[in-house]
Amino acid sequence: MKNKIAELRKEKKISQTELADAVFVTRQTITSIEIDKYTASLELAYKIAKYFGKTIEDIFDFSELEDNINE
Amino acid sequence: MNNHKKELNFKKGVIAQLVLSSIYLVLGIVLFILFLIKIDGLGSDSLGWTMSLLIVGLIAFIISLITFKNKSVLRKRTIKHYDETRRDIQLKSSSYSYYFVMFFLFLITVLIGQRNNEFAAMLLLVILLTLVVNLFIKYALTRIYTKGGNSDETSE
Repeated sequence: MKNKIAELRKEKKISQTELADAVFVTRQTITSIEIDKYTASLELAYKIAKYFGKTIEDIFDFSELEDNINE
Repeated sequence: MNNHKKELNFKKGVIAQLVLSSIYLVLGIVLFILFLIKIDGLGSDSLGWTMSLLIVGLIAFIISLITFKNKSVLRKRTIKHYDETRRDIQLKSSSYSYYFVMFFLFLITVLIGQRNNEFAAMLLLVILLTLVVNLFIKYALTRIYTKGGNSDETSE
């Protein structure tokens, strides 16, 4: 899932390690999420959003999923 | 589970490791003393057992002691232990290795079958039983995960 974590990190001038430490995961997990190799769990997505003071939708791009939902 | 709980849980595991490794270490030391004073009935390979107990116990004891005493190491190891991608990788690797083990067992069965049919049949039964147990565990886990929820909910 595409996301703005790398962008927000650069804005805040924090490293992957600092973010990883704050949300209690390894740096490798942050890297995997940033390069879209791994989709964060709801818990982790919430923690990341809370860390940046934003909502989950502000950070993660759900547009691909929306196409799969038939109303 | 919050971070504090995770750290506490992991600390409990480290304490268990400390206890186990100290048991290894004590056993190793006792056997080593017995070896030194040359007590009868220890067997010819007692030095090998003693040394392996001592080395494994000592390494495990040092690692768990460092983890237990050093807060930053404890935090780092807890993070690694509960890490999402790590759990994902572990799940995938264990399922892949399961198929590898199955293939390996099958290969052994074929090779043994050329010499001893009864033993091969037994091994084949073990493989089939493992597969059935695996399917049962999957079924049981699915039941546990979906327990309590309605299978079909409709809204007016």
